[in-house]
Amino acid sequence: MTTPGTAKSVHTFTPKSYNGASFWKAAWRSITRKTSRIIGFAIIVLFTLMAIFGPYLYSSHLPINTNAIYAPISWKYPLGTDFEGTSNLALIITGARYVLLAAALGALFTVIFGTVLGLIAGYFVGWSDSIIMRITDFFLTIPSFPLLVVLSTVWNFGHPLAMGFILGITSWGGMARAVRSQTLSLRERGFVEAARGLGLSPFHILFREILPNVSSYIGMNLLTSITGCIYAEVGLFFLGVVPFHVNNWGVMLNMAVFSAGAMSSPDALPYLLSPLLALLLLTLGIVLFLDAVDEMFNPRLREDV
Amino acid sequence: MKNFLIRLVWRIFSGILMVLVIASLTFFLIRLMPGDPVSAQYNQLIMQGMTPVQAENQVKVMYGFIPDEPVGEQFVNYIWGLLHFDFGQSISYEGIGVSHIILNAAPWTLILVFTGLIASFLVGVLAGVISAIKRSSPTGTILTVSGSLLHGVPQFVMGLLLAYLFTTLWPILPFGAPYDSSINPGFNGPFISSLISHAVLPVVTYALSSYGGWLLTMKSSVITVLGDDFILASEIRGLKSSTIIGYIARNAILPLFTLFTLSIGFMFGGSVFIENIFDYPGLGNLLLKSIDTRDYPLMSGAFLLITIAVIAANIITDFLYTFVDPRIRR
Amino acid sequence: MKVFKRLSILLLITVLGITMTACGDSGTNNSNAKFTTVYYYHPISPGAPKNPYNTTGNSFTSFDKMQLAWSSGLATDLNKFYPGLAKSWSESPDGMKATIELQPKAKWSNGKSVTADDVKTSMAIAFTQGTAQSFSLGSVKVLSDKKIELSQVSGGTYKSFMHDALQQTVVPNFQYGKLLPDNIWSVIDQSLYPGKDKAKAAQAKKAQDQLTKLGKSITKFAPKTDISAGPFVLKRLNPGEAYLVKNKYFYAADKVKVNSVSLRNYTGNQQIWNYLIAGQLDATPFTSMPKNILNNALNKKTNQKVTTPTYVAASLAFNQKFDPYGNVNVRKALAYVIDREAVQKVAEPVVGKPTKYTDGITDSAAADWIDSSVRSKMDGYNLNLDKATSILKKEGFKKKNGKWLLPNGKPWSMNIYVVNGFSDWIQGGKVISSQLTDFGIDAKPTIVSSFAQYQADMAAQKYAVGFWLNSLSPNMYTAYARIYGTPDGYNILNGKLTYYDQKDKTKGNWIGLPEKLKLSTGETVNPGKLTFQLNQLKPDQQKDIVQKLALATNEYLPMIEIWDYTHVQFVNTSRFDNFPVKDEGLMNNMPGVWMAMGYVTPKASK
Repeated sequence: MTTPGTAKSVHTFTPKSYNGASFWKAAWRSITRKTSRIIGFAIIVLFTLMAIFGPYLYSSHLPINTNAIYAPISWKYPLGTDFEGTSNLALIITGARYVLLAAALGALFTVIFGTVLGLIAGYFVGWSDSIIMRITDFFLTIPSFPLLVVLSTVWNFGHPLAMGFILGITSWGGMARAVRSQTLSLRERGFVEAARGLGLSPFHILFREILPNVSSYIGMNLLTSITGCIYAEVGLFFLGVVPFHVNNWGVMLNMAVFSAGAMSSPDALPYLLSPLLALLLLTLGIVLFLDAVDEMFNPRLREDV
Repeated sequence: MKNFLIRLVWRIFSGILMVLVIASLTFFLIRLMPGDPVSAQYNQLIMQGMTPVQAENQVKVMYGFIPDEPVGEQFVNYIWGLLHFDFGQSISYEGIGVSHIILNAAPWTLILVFTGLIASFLVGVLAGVISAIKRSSPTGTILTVSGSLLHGVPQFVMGLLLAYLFTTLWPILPFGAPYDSSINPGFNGPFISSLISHAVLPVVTYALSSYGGWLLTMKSSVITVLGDDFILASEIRGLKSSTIIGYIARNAILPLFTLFTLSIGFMFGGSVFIENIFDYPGLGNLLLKSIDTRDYPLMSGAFLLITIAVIAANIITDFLYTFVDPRIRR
Repeated sequence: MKVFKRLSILLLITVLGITMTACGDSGTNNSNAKFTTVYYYHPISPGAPKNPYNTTGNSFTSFDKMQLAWSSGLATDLNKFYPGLAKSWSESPDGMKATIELQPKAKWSNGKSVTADDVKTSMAIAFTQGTAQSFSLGSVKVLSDKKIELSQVSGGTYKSFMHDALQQTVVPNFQYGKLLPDNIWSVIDQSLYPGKDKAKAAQAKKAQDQLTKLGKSITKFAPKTDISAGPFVLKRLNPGEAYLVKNKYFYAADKVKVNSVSLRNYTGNQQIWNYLIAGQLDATPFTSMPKNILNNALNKKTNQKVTTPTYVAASLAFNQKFDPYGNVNVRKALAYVIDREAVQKVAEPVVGKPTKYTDGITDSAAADWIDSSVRSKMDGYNLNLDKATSILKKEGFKKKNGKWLLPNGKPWSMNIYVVNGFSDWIQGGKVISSQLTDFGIDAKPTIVSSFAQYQADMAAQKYAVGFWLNSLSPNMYTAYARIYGTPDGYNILNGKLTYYDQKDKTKGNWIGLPEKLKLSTGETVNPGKLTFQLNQLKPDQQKDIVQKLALATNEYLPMIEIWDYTHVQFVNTSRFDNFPVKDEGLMNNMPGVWMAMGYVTPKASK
């Protein structure tokens, strides 16, 4: 029995036609689903803007003020100053470019090397697999950070491209391994058999059939590689590796601890805390955003609208 | 049994081969570095304020410790020495055996990193189990987020932050050095307590920056196990929740076990940053120092130690796993 | 849960540990009069041998590693020494022989006497280490149990023979003698052959190789116990400190009032700062530090800063073959642009002082050598941008859009070369670059990877502008040779002065001043010749030449002196007093020397 009330409110049921939400729309949905992810995204956007536009906001020679060495926080110097009176805020903003660019390039190289080698090894099993896996094992066994320190003395890492390249070379091992095992299991699946049966070229199979299925792993790894690369390059500069640039965050940390005595006296604290907090904030942003990336690339986690 | 032995011997053999390959590679790689031990020492002395003439005189003796045979011959001697467990003599220490120096530095690293590893493992596993069981409640989310957050923070950033908080802002812990040098080492109260209080910050840094990894892995492992039938069966049977959790934990911890044993291998790399910041005379600091002074034998020795440890851990992990996981044993 | 329990136990242990520390730390009683400091030359490495000839050896100058005498390092009295194991010494008029008499009461820590044989063995070892050859030692003659005569090589003209010989380390014959072969002195003799006879020269080379090989084995020698003739003996070593106790056989043991010494280890400067600020060090040697650390250290009221002059200055040097630095007026203009005070404030705020006058020596040394009449002729090149601008305009430089152009129309850019790790040079270079860039000259610092590389490149004339360490010594000859010696092409070959032009790039003439300089007094001087003459004269005859060279340096500016280094140390009066803070010569030496002279008395224990 329908009550009069409900009879009035019965509408014709018109289901929304399924448009096949595009990747970007779905991605945006996954970001906005939780506040934490929005915050993460905003932070990443902020730093990217800093990296791109930062150096343009200041003249290429930052002003020094020898009367304001290690000045306390004030309106003029929102984050204090360094050993020659340059505003720490200016240093952080102009230094973001190298740090982020090198990290992004490093993550890119890691993912490219790791994925390509992993796919090839996993698909074309046999001697190519063994050779690639031996090389991978080799790179996985060599202690990567000391290797980086040694390499940094042999080659100059002044250009972010060089730094990114070296970071990529030393860290693709884990990625290659994981992609290989995923490829190994995927190549037995029905759709790959079908593609082979259709006579599609191996490269088509690799890059159009298998690759999209590993993409979720790649996406996550891209972001985690970025954090790993930031850690490695800032660490290298912290340890005192050339080249020296005053606005490099790692160099700032090094100078704050070892020449300014920030750990022993509070005056130089802003000089220590500015790069520290910048790093923390950036890491926070990436970690929060990672959650969204997981959902973005993994269709099974997505709830459709 | 015979199969097992053959596999073991084969693994050990290929491990030794890998070690030799890496040793050879590092031998040539480190000689690519610009500068040489003498100019590095010379640099150091000038920075301390010696005049160039004084510094030149002082470094003259070091020339005696740098082999001057052609590189090829040096290489052959080196590999031959390795096979006899002779790691060579340090240049910057002017003749002291590399193994002697490494053995002196090793305990500091091992104590620190091992304690940190165990601490992070325990905390991470515990938190992982909780966050998996309570994954839809705020507790679970907070645990997961904090874990991945701290995991993403670089180790030295964490170390510097903690050092600042607890030695400068609220000075309740001492900063730097393994123990207070005014205390006589030995088996006495003040010494041990000094050791512990100086070790708190480095160990906590290490634990905090790595427990996130254990947490996330454990969490996904537990989630997988939770879906298994026997858990459902236990719940239906009305077993105590602590028993059930025990079952879950034991099963979920298996994949972590391999990671743990592998981590022990990487432990020998010391933690370069933590030792640098907190001034521990361990293997990480030794490695850095040997790179600074271009002390080729010492560098090779340190690299080699890490490599051997990692390879050995790999081999042990592979074989121990078969003992631990009954499903693999036939 | 089990895990929980394990965690809480761990936490408990930690808390227990912390509380126990709180109790443990307050226990260092003063009744043992333990003097705590850090060893200036190197940190403590427990694995190193207790051997003074090893660079990281656990043998500590003035505490258990003894010399014949201790140099005061004073500019006013180059030959003032404090007695060490030597009680008195004299030199022959021609400087070829030195006779040294040992302390009659000197004994090793095992009770045996210190004899001339010990000195002879130590000199032989000095040959294997290369040090004896550097002061032209030829032979050693034992005159008696406590008297020894040292002679230069025949034909030797080294002016500081006795000066250097007195600073040699002495080790016991009964411990080190067995490391040398019986025929060591004939080997030494053979190696010193200076002539042209082919057979003898080949024999000399073989002998020298044998000495070098011996040197290697001696450096490695690890004696089981430390035998010292100094005020202290090494008792215990661990990674945190070296612990030495009073040597009752020391010749001046009645003067030494300190019972034990603790040398703390450090892996970096920040550890020393921490000890200093906490008031744990009784004496702190020269340590580079920023201003805020200094303030914190002085906040502890018992810390006292002691400043003594050094003879080292940092300068900005020019290679005059590069345009436009060959023009003396350009160099003068640059001197007017650089604000030396600001540079020093950033680069070396604590252990540096901005230089008042560029004259080739430090201001403190100049006070003793330069009269006011000569001083009044010098220009301080104080900050004056207008004057710099007018000089440059007169020389044909033009300023366009705020940037200076060279007379040939090209933009003026400068690379200031500094060395990696020398943070004061790096920071100084950065500040100078900023000042020059603000003025309109595009400047930036460029870092060279090592000092050895830097020196080699400087000598090979690769850099137009770079940092340089000046003076380096209270000895006027050494000081001026830093400018008018090899760097300007003046070399000494077989005792004669030879000049090399800048065209020959292998001879290290990178300054490139003209050979004849006309001074404002009307006199024309050859700075290289004058400097060479300094080496032939005794200090009381050098004043005239020194003043001429100072004026020449000021008027021709081969380099611009930026800051003088000062020797800053700290003493702590909470546990000890009676430090020799007024005696500059003693402060230039290590605490062991102070104690041997009777200084450093423990305060009455609480």
